[in-house]
Amino acid sequence: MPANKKHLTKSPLHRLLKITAGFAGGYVITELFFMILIKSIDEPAAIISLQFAGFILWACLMILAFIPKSGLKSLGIYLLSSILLLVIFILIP
Amino acid sequence: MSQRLYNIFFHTHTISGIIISALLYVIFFTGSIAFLRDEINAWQRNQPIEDNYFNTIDFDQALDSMAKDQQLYGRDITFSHRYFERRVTTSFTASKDTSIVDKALGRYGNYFYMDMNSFDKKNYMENYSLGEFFYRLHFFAQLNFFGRSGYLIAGLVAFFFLFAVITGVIVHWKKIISSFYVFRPKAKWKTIWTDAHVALGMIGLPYQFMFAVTGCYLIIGYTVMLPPVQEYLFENQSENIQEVMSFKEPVNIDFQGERLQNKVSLNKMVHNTLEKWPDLIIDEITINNYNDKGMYVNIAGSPGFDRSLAGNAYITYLADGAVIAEKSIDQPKGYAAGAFNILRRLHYGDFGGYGLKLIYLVLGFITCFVILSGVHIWLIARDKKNVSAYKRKFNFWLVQVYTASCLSLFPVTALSFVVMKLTHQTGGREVLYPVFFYSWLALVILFLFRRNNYFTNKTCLLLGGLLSILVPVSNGIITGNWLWIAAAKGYHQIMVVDIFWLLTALTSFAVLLKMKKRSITPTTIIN
Repeated sequence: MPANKKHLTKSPLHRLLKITAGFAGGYVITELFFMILIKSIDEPAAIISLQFAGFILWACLMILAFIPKSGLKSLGIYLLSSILLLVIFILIP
Repeated sequence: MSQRLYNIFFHTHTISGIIISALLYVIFFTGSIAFLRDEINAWQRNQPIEDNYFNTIDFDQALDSMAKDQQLYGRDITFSHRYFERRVTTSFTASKDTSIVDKALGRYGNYFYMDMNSFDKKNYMENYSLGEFFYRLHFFAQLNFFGRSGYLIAGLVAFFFLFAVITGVIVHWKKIISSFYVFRPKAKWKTIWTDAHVALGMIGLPYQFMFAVTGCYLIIGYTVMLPPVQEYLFENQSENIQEVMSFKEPVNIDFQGERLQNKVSLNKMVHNTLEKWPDLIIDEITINNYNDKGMYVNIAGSPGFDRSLAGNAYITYLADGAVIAEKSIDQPKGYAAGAFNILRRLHYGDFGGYGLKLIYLVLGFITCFVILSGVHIWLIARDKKNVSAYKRKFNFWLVQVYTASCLSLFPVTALSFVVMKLTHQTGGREVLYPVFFYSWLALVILFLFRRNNYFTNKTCLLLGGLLSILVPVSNGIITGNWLWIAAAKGYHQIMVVDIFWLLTALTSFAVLLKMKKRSITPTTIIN
């Protein structure tokens, strides 16, 4: 019953990239997303949401990072999304 | 979902699960015990209290008693009833009058627990109790070797638990309805473990998801989620965030430096508040600038859970009794303040009386079973000829260690209750820590020598069952408050603990009777 190995990511490097993208990248995206909300809408509401719903978003992002075949692609997508969110965050007055 | 994705998610579920399993088991087991935290403390100290105890305290006398040790003038003083005990958390700041200089107070000098019947004080260590121990083991406070490392571990375990819950749902999504009804206890072990894991995991799913989220929120919601927010949006000042999240109107009255002529009665303020809102359960009183012209008092609490889950209310008085700020018990709370209160209530299970706590407890133990059955699926699925010998050896020993540590928690917990009662230890860790941790270690070593699941299980149930019966018995012998006497006297808190252990004993004996006889010789890896 263990997962069929032929479907799993073989290269340890790509595994590491995916886990990094999901764990670190997922955290950065979660934080930026909620910081945009804190800046643009009600402060306490967005802060308390980050404190609990932030974990749900982060966990989902960790799962999604495993979908692309290449770890580089995962990391690339998460990096670009972070940059995009960062730009929005900076642009909001 | 494609074959590829299914296998990938399945693998992430397996790996995240196996890494956190034993720690998560300890969290759920001790957390389930900690639902009864305050009752356990009342049981241990033989100090049961009535409902709404805090509303009835003589605060003026409490302040008089504090004034014997130090001058209270110009201090901020807080009484807080976070735990439903006779001992109330009390703290005070340094006086704002610079002529009042404190003698060395020691680490816990201005933070202590005051017994509101006898007004004697206990510092944190003297106040340490069974309930506190299980409550804190539940988030690994004992592992705070480096700063808050224990809390961080507990938080990460909760987060990976959330991850495992979501991936578990994804993996089982297709057959989620049919799996709910499948249980084949007569089949081979692998099927039994799988059915139990999936079916019980399904039953407990909303509960487990809720606990994963609220657990993350409570233990690392601040320390992990807020540092970037604080740094970039609040000028790196934690006070700025706290001000936004306090949900109280700020009162801007400073220390004046002139003493009040007449003594202020706190009891009168409490009385007035309760007259205004009879349903309020007060849980905190904060006095600012005591006995100064700038003195004001904030009385805060919440309506009972039968009235509102998210509600809280407060009222702020000046020394002459004038009201300067209030949030009514009937006022809508809004999303942020409501979420703040509801997340806590959901996690502590304090919104439905003992009936709800019982359901929470049972679901908590079911989750323990889901965790352990998951570990056994993991082992049995890898116990095959095509898996290399050293890997199988490692897997075998890992599961032996996990099973032994998890199952022996039950007798060890019951033993701690009995020993603490029989030795009259009403506070401190000197006896509790060695009893709990060494007996745990001893049992684990014994089970590792035997390496037999049947033997481990049977011994734990037998020892645990016998010790569970001894819990109410030891309490009866030492305090005279046997179950029926406690019931007659209306000592609900004591009664609840005794009944809990009796039910636990009955359950373990029932399981023992149902267990089939099997060999108790040590198991090795099947070649």
